[in-house]
Amino acid sequence: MLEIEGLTKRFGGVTALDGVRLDVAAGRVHALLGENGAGKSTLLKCLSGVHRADAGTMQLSGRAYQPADPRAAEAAGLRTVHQELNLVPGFTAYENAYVGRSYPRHLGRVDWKAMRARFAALRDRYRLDLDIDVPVGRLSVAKCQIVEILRALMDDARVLILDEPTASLSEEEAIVLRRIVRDLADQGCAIIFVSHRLDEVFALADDYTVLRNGQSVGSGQIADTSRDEIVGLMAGEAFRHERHGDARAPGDPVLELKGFRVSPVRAPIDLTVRAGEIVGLYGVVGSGRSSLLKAVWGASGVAEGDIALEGAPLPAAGIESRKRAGVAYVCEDRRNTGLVMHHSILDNAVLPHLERHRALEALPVVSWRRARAGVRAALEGLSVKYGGLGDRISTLSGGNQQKIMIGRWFDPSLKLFLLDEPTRGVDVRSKAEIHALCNRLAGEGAAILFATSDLEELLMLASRVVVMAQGAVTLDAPNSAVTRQSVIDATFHAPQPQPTKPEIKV
Amino acid sequence: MSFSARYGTLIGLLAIIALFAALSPEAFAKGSNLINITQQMSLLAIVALGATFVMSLSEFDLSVGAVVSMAGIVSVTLFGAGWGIVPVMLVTLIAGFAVGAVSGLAIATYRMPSFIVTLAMGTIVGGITYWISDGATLFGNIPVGFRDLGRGYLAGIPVLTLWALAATLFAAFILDHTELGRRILAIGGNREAARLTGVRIVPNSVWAFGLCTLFAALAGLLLTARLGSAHPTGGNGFLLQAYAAVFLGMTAFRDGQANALGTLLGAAIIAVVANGLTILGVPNYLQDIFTGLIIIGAVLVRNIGGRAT
Repeated sequence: MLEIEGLTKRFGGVTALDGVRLDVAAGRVHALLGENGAGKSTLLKCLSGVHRADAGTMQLSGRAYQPADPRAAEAAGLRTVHQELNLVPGFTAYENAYVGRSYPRHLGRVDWKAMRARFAALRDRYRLDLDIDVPVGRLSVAKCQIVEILRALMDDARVLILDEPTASLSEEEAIVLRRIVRDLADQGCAIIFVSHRLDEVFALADDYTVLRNGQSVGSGQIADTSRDEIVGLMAGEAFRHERHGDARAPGDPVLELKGFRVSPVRAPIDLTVRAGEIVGLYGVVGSGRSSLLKAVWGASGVAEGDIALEGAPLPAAGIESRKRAGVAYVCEDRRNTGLVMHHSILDNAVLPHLERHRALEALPVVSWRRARAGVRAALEGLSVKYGGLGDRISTLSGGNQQKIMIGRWFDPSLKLFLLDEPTRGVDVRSKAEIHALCNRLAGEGAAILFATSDLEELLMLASRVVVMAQGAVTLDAPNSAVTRQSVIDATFHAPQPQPTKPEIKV
Repeated sequence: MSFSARYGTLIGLLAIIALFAALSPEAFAKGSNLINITQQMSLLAIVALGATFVMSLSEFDLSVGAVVSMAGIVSVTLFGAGWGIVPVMLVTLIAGFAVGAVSGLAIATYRMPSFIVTLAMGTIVGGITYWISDGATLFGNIPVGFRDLGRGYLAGIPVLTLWALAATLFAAFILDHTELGRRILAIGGNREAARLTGVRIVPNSVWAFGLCTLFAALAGLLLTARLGSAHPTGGNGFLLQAYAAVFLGMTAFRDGQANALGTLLGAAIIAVVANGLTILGVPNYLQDIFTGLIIIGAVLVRNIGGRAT
């Protein structure tokens, strides 16, 4: 049905896809596998017309396929269901299905009956128990996911792309979804299925293709392969990296989590981070790394369980208690939740600790002279390049912005750094500088807990590796005790099955 | 940013003054009239400076007009009950602060839209004001000492002008030089980024809204001092003009951010236009049309200028 040969896509100097080959047959479910950054998303975007490939050929049912934009891809019979839901909460399922489509009309008025009837027929064709008359905002995530899929099937789809459709579903809901996928394939649809649950891939898929570093490194039938072979393909050949931090003897515990839950429905987490240790938190997107860091920072109102800093218990939530205790946090999304992009470098740099730049200790009045001097000195120590402190921070490069986000917390009394993807979207040089900075801080006795989606970075920087999957810790070992393969393997471990409701109807 | 985009609003004000001066050299351009304008704009400037705090937070407070009216009625009522000047002013200002503080608390705690909460709060305050005054203009026995706060001159400058200047300096100080001000601006700039660096949303919002209505209450007191009476809806007209002044001020000086000096400039533009057109004998409704066009024009010039850079 869909044949891709030699597909190449470059972004600037980075080659995201390098001669990718993919054959998807009608009536079969094809699993697309690969680590974070292997090129899966780029490949899907080329398929759905978001990106245009630089080289290579794509054929759909034997005819050349080169979608200029997502609309062209849809017209050719290719549908994508994204991981995130794109529904209007106040609309019913069938109203949502018609968003972006022309409405059927009867005597000049929108024919709601016809719309509803058509969508109901589609629902019944796949034997689904779905209430299409309530706003989707009142449906469960699983049902919303199903609405998304049905919407994609409104006009007959020849190729259906499902990007991690089960990531946010419970096991029971995932089973229902898999049944629908199977049904679709049986009716002749070709399905590309991206999943980070390897057990699911083995239960559902017929064929597989593994991507690594933008190349297709293996493909075949699921029946002919094994879990170990797939993980091996994803991990690649023996990988040499410099392992830092191992030599350093960790000190006393700084952060201790015992039965700590990000929210009441999440798995309890036990974790200890010691002085001088750099603990790397690894997992696929959605595995719970970011929410764990945020909850440790006290920014989640629903966290519960025991959290202690240097033996002193902290409340389960409350950012101020962390700041007082000597914790710093750098979030993953610099642009949207990290910096005030249209404010100056100076304003952003002083925001976390305005009280450090007081003219008089007793008055909450900022001495800009002191603040400027302090920030200038700090930025110099980080080798940040900037024009003037009054320039908008958005005028700086991502690497320099990131260095400021980290550096603005520096304080001799700092004990714990929580860094969420500290090198995301920064250039190679800044990345090395940020790594050096982490090593320096750890050398000075700080504890660092950082999250990353980059396996190389994890193994290069972390003295201890912690892997999370579906909200739970599935691996916790010193860097020297893990391999690339064992880390990837741990990202597929589902947590212990939890007692669930006896029946779930979807 | 280009010179014209950065100082466009100031240039605009000077151009408007020059235009009126040319059209009416004997009446408008006279020194006494220019001084008169600074007095005419003073109460508007004070209300608008208050609104600058909530605009810095990227929120609105639509209760300011009602609070101006309330402050007048409350103060005259208390004077009528025999209270002294200082206690009357203190109680009125505290009541004014409390109105905004309650709005801010509700808005920040429950993430309610400020537009609706403060609209409701303004309606409630308006109702209470009507209740206290029974709908009538109050004269009471307002002490002369109080009346002098809103009339007369000090070293040749109208007292009200001095109040407006003091309010500008105070607002600029709070916003530019205190931790509170910087935190308010950070929340207004990116709420989640501010929250994640440990800026506490609720107390800072309470202060911003409280200061907003505190300024409105001050304007209400000064209005009463100047007029020697209070009307239950006497301050309602300030609401729209105050935000017009803040918006005009946002187009001045800084990168689209509300700021005290800009707000003062915005109030000046509105006052100059009103004064100049009155002197030229242009009817009131045309003044409103002109003011509206000037605001749209300023924002338009700003956006086009901003895009070019």
